[in-house]
Amino acid sequence: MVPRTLVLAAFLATATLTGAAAKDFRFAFQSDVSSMDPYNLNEAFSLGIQGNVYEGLTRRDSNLLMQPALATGWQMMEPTRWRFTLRPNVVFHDGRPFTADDVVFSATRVRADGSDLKSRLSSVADVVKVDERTVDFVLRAPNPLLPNEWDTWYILSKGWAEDRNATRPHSAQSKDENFATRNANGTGPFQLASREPDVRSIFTANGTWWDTKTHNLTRVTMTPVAVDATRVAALLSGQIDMAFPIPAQDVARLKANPNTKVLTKPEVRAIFLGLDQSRDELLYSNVKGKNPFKDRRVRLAIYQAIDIQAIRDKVMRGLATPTAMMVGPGVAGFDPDQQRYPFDPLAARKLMDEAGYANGFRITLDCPNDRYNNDEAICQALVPMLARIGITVDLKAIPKVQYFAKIPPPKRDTSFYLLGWTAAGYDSLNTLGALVMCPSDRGAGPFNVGGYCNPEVDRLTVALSQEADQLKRAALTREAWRIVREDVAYLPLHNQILAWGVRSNVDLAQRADDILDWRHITVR
Amino acid sequence: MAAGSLLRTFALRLVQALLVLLAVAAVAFLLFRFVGDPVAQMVGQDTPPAERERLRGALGLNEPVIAQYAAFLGRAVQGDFGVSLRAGRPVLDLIGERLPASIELALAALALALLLGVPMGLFSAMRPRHALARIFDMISLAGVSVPTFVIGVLLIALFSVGLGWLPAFGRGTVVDLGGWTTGLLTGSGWMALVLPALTLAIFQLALVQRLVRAEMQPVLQSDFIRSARSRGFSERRIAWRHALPNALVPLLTVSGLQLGSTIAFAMVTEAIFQWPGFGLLLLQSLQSADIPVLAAGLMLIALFFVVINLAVDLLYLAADPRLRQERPHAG
Amino acid sequence: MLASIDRLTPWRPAFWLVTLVALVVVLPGLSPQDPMDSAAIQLADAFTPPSWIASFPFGSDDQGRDILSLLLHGLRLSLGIAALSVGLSLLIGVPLGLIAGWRRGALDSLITRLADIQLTFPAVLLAMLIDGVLRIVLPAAQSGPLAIAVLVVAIGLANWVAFARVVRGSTRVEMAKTYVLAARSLGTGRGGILFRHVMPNIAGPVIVLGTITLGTAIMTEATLSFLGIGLPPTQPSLGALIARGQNFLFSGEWWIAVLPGVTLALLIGLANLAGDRLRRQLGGGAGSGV
Repeated sequence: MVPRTLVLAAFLATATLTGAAAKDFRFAFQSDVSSMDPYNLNEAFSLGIQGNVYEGLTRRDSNLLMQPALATGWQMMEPTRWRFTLRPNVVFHDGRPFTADDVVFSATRVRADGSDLKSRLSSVADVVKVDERTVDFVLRAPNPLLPNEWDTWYILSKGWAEDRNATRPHSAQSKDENFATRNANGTGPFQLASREPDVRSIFTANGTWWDTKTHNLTRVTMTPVAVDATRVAALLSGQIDMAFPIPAQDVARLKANPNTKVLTKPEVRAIFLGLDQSRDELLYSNVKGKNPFKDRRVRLAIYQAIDIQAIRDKVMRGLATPTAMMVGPGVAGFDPDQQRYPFDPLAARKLMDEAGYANGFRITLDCPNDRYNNDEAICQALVPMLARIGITVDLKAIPKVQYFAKIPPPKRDTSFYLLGWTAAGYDSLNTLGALVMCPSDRGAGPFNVGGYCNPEVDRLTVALSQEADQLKRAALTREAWRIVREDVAYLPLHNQILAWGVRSNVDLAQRADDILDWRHITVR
Repeated sequence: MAAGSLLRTFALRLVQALLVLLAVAAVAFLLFRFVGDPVAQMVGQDTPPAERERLRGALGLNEPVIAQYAAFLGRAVQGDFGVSLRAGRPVLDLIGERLPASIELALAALALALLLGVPMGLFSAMRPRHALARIFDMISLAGVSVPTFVIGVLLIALFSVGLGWLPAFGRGTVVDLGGWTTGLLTGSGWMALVLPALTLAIFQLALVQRLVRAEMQPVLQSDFIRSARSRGFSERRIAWRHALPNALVPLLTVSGLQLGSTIAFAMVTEAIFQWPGFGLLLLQSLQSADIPVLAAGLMLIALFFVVINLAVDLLYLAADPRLRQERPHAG
Repeated sequence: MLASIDRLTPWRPAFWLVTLVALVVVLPGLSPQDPMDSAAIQLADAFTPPSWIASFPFGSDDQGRDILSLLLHGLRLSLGIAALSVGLSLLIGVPLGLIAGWRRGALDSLITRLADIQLTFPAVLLAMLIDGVLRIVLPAAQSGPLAIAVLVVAIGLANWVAFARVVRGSTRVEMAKTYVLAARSLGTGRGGILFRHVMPNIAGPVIVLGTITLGTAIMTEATLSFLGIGLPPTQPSLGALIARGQNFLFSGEWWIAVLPGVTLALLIGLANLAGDRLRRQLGGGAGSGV
């Protein structure tokens, strides 16, 4: 008979072993990535997940600060030539070494038909391999922000892609599945072990990763759970270790539970209302022959009629920061001191009177109902607020799949709408260029649905796109945003506050762009 | 002669079935103009309008509806249903992966509805004053009056969060039997099946209970049951052997009529439990305007109805010679 | 409770249903707050719990609207949409069923195949299609009435098949009966047979199916709201209230979903009880048709 203590000791040893060996992390987001191919979709969640498997020349830490990754350093040789030095001794998950050829290949692939990330290299004319460890990027015009978004331009292995017939991303013409859609081969801290789209994907820690490991995970399981209530329930019951996003009304419940906690952080995205300032007559309105939104007083009246504090408290349950800006905290050019025009219904009514709309008018507000946090409820809360200054709002809240067929160009089938925008590259330049510049045939202001147009802002934005000096950039940005506020070009509402639900035994760093970086997760 | 007539009817019905499929595809393509912009779901926020327009053109979305329809039919005839816009994978692969989950869920729900609903209905009919019968009546009333999404959320709250017995979502561990994934071979698979099956079953269960009860009450008072009683058969035997068979035909008829709403409720149930089935696929495709998947999915549902109707009609024809004789002078 | 209703006259639930309908027409005028008058809604009032002494006896919702008023208006909307859609189903299904059962042959096949096509499209898809079509036909229409029309047509279309099938089946059964054959041989015209003999006999199953479908229609409308395709949130039906309120079931504001839920259950329950009673009164077992 074996002594009892020995059995116990053996049991404990096994327990400790498995405990140390298996650090599983299971999490749920509201949807799955549509593809593992990192050039398939230019969207934060997909790129964030892929970024645990693939790596770019640069990367961002948990405070969104840029760091070297597959490049150890870079310098501007001349305004139109940048030199990147590549990291030595890096291998892909399949064992191939990482070389300059992979960077040149990835530069070609990301600009190929079917890629949604062509903009990453849109200013690049040529990519030249100088030697195995050095690559030059030759630009068409100076671009001081060149590597700003390269943290999400991931490098693929040339040999792997060629072997697997995946040298180009999946395109509209493809008749078959691209190998890179369900398979991945990066240099990152995790590798894809198995993937069932829309069901579950399993990743394992990469034992040959070049960097020092800051996580203690052996395995990550990703499952999409679309319905909020189910996702929260799964977290509460311990079926998963982490869930995001968490609806505002469930935050208190998760905080009260001893096994779960909630992490919050202001998001870089800004939520705002857009007004049609270009048509001569509004769509879906009873004002005929003129456009009241062309009058700054009417725009300001609507702004001042919005009780943003009540929306923050009741609709968002505190998970929002009212803002006067079109960009969020963490974006270059965000100015926390810029003040909102005060909530003042009396002043608003007076402005309406002065503009000749004492009896108000009727307008349809377009709103998505499944895109931003409580989007429909926000729009609904606006209806009574605007009713009090005489504006009768017909609310049309529709699912995003229909909304984004209706709102952006070419249709622009709206005169009053709600939208959110995240400044790509975390610089105001993106928002100014996409939403604020006068819309033009040459592609300026592509998402300026309302058609706001001020040549002075255009001039500042063009100057900003060529300016390398940080102080001058800040001055140009500040001036541009000052004019936008002065003109009441848009009606900013708030920055959402991200809410992530986490089991108590998990520690992780929350990023302001809602990206879950597995490098910073430890499970106790 | 009978065999020839059957064959002719069969051929006629086959032609009709094809026409139904064509009509469904036609309506589907008319519909796709309104489901939304698939391209907006395929690109990121920063992708410029010109690039989106180019992609729209490449996908053939700017073609007239009739041209898109013709192109779809041309490929469908060759067995090519295209590639999902959302997933970048062949549509048939996607549907093939998702069907087993839905079939298992639907069968489990049906089994639950019958296994619980029939005895409940019988009991309510035979002992209408019994306290248990009243509870059964209440359950079935709740089944037809509480929306599926509320039932699902409440079940999750009770059995997953409150008691911690069953998982809140997913299908558990599945075993792949050469193209058919099943959750019925693992413990976690069975555990995961319980809540969605119950959610989907409650509406049908309520219907079955009410129908059995309603059908049984007159039958139990009929002469032949009275005579069976007088011959000393037990109540249980009377109920199951003699009375129940009389209630089965309307039961099946009504179940058939409810098939349409069952599909809608299955979509919601699969969404709530993140059950990776065909209903969830349809919903996801709807939410991303994934036209190739929607087109093929609707064709599949149509095929399902056509086959069921064909089978039922042929059964009737085979069983009832009168229907065959009447046909000539009917039109 | 149900058994005690059982003992009462068969028309009792129908009476209650009619009373409810009457109340629904009258009551919104008596509600403390007009939820359609947006200027009166204060967001600051949101999430007030029910309290008999306060200004919100049933509490307020996430927008600060009075739940009692919402219930009264929502009840009218839900019942109205359901009743209109059942009416539409009847209008399409009964004639088609009669024709199919009576004429047989090619016309019967055509109608049956039409039913197959119809069954393929769930109400969710229909609603999107109809919404799109109506928007093109009536570009100037306001979103509220338009949304009601969309729901009525979508749910009505989704349900006519059941009526057509039941009527077709009953018509066949009636037409084969000896008295019809006798009437025929006596030279009564086809129309006469249809209206004098067949119609009265199919009324039973149709009314029964109508009450069941009323319940299903209310549920379908609620499900559409849950999927984000329904009435605008400024004009919520009971289903839309539940769909929104279920978000708050576990965060302490249970009343936003539970009170409309109970009302909805009561409504569907009464419709179904009335259906049961009518079934017993009119046609014996459902086997005659349903």
